[in-house]
Amino acid sequence: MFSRDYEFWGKHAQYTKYLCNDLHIFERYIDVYMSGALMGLIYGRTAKRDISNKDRAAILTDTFVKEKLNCQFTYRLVMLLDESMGLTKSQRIDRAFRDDTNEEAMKNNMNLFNSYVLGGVEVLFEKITSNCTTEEEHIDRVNEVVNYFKNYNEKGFEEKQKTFIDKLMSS
Amino acid sequence: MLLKYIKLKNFRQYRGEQMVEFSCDPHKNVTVFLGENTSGKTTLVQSFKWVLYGSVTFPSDILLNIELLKEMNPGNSEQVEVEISLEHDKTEYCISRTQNYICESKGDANPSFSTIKIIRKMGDGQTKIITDKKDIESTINKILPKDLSNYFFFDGERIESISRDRDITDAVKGLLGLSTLENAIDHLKPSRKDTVYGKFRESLVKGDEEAEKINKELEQKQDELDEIEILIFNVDDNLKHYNARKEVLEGKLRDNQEVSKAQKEREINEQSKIRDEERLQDRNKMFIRNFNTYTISGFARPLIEKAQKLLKSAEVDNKGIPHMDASSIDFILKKGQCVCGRRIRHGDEAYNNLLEQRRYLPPQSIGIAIQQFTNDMEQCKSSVEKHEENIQSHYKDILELRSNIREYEDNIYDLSEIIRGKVDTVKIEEELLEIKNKIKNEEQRKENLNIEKAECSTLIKLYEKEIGEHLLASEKNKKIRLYMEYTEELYEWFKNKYDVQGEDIRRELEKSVNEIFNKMYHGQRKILIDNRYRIDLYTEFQGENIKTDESKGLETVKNFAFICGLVDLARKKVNKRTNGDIEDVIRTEPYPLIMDAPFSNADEKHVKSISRVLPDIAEQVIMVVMEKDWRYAEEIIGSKVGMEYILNKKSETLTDITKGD
Repeated sequence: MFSRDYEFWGKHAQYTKYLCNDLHIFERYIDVYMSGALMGLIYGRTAKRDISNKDRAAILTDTFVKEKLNCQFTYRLVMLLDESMGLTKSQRIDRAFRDDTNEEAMKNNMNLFNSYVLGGVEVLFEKITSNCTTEEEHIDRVNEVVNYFKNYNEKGFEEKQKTFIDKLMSS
Repeated sequence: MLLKYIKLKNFRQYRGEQMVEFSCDPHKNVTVFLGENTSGKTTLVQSFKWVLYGSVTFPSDILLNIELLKEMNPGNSEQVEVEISLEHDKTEYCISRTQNYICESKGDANPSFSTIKIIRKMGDGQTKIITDKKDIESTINKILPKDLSNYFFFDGERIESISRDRDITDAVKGLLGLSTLENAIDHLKPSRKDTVYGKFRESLVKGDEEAEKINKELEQKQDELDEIEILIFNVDDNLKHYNARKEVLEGKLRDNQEVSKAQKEREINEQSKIRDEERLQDRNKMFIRNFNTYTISGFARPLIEKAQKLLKSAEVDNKGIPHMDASSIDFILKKGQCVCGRRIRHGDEAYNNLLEQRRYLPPQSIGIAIQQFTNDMEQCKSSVEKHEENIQSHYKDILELRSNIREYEDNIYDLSEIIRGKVDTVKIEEELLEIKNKIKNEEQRKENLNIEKAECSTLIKLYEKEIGEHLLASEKNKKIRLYMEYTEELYEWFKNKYDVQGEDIRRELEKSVNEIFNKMYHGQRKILIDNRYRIDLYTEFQGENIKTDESKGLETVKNFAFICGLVDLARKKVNKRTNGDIEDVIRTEPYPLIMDAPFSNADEKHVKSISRVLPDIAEQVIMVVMEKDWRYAEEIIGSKVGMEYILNKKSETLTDITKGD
C-alpha cells in the first residue's frame, strides 16, 4: 500500500499542477491526492487515468512513506464507504482491514482508490477554480469550501451537496 | 554697429559666392530671410559668428560645401570665405575670414586654420589693414565682445538658456560703457601695488631699506585684503541668490499648504497600504498553510460518522499490536531473530508467543486495526475544529486587511485628485532645507571673512603709520605725498561716479527691460535684474517681491525683453551723449539683432507681441524665419521690411539665396 511512485496523467496532472504551482492553494501534490480521494468519495465521483496528453505530475514513494498514516486512513475510509462494487458491510470492512497483505486484492483496491482520487481532483479543480480569477477570489472560494464542510451534518448532506454545487456554478 | 552686407563663399549649403545686402533704412530696418526646415537658416546666422570669432556650433568642423568636397580630386584646393561689411563708431570695417581645404584623397579634404583680415576705412577715405593678432582681437572686442554675441546673434530655439548663461557681468558692462570707468578705477586704486597710487608709494619708500621692507609687507596685506573683499562680495552674492530662492520656495509652500497636507496624508496612506499589503500576503500564506493541514480531517468529517456506524457492527478485539499485520510476524519467524535481537527457534517459547500474537493481527484478526482506525477517526474529529478556528481567524484578518487596503486606495485616489497638477511640496521642502543650510554656511563664512578683513585692515593702517614715521620730510617726498592725495581724490571721484552710474545703468536697464516686457506680457509680473545682470521674474505678495515660476512661453518673452532692453539701452546711451560730463566717458553703439528662428518657442500671441516691439528697439533687425511663423509676424512687422530674401533649398547640401518680392 502506497509503496511505489504515483503519477497523475493528462488533465489530472494539469489540474494538480495548477492547484499547487499556480494558485498555491495546495502545498504538495500529495495533498491534492489525499484530498482528491475524499472529495471523490463524498461526491461519488470516480475517473479513469487521462491519456489524452503527455502531461505528468509525480508523487514519489518517499512522500508516501512520510504521509503513510494519513494515506492509510484515507484509504480505509474509501474502502469502508465505497458502495459501488455491491459489497455487503462485512465485506467492505474486510476490504478495508484484511486485504493489506493480499497482493491481488490490494491491486484492485488501489485501482478503486485511485479512481476516486482522479474523480476528486476534478471536483476540487471545479470547485476551487470555477468563476474565479484573482488570488482574492480563490482565497474566498477556499473559505466557502471550509465553511460548507463546517456546517455539514450527515442528514442534509445530499441536499447540501446539490445546493453547494448549484451555488458555485451560478456565482 | 550697422551691418551692410555679408558675402558667403562655399560656406556649407551656400556654394559659390552669394552676397546679401541688409536694409540700413531707419524706417524700414528689417531684413527678413524666409526658409523651410534645413534650408540653411542656422548656417546663415552662424556665418556671422564664424567671421567674427572663428567659432560655430555645428557638429562637424568641415565648413566647405559637401558637394564641392566630394568633387575634389587629390591635390585640389578650395576655399571657404565669409566677409561682412559694417559700420561701427562712424568707421567702416570690412572683416573677412577664410579657410583653405586641400584634398588628400577623393572626397576627403583637411581644413587649415582659418585666418581673419580686417580692413578699416577711415573718415578721410583712407584704408588701413589690421594684421596684428592683438589689434584684431581688440577691434572685434570693441565692435561686439564674444560673450555678448549670443545676445545679438541668437537662436530662438535656445533662447531659454540665455538667463542661465555664465556670468556676463563684464560683457554687459562693456556694452553699456561701464568698463571704461571700471578700468579707470582699477588704474587708480590705492590698495594695489600695480596702480598709480601703488607706484607713487613705491617711489616714496625707494632708497629707505626699512620703509621698503614695511611697504612690501603692506602690499602683501593689501593683496590679502583684496582677495578677502572679493570673497566677501561672492558670499554676499551667493547669500542674495539663496535668500531670493528661499523666498520663492516659502511663497510656494504658503500657496500650497492644502497640497502639502494632502501630500503628507497620501504618503501616510501609501505607507499604510504597503504595510497592510505585506500583512495580507502573510495572512494569505498562513490561511493556505492551515487549509493544507485541515484538508484530511475537514474533508473526512462527513465520512467519519458513516464509517463509525458501519464499524459498530464489527467484532473488535484489542489484543493486537497497532499498525502491524501477520506478515511482520512471518518475517521475524523466518529470520529467526526478534527485533530486540533475541534468537528464535522453532517451538521455543518466543516462537510460540509470536504465533499466538499472529492470531490477533490482520488478516486473521482485524480488531486492533479497527481499534486503531477508530482512534484515528476520533482524533480527526477533535482536530478539525481547531483547524477550522485557525482558518476562520486568518480569514477574518484577511477581510479586515482587504478592507483597510481598499480604504487606503480610496484615500490615495481622493488625495491625488487634490494634488494632481500641483507642485510637489515635499521636494520644495527638501530644497528649502538645503537652501537654509547653505545660507547658514555662507553667513558663517562671511563672519569669518569679516574677522580676517578687520585683522588685515588693522595691520595695513599700522604699516602705513610706520612708513609715515620712518620717512624723511624731504621736498621730493612732500611732492609725492601730494600726488598720492590727488590720486586718492580722483579714485574716490571715479568710484562714486561708477557706483552711481553703475546703479543708474542697472536701474535703467531694468526699467527698459520691464517696459518692453510689459508691451509683450500683460500680467502682474515684473523683471528684476541683479548687480550681475541676472534676470528673474517676480510678483508682488503682501508688499514683497516674490520670485515666481515661469512657463516656457513666458521665459521666451522674458529673455526677449532682456535682449531688447540691452539693445535699447545701448542705443539710448549714444543718443544721449552730452559734452563735459561723465556721460561723455560712457559711450556705446547701436546694435543690430540677428535672429535665427526667433519665434520657434512662441505662440501666435507672443509672435505678434514680440514683432510689435522689435523694429522700434533695434537699429537693424535681421531675422531668418520659417514661413509659417512669418505669417503672424508679417501682419505686424511687414511695413518695416526693407529687404526680403528667400532661402531656396535645392538639395540637402545646396541652397541659393534669392531676393524676395
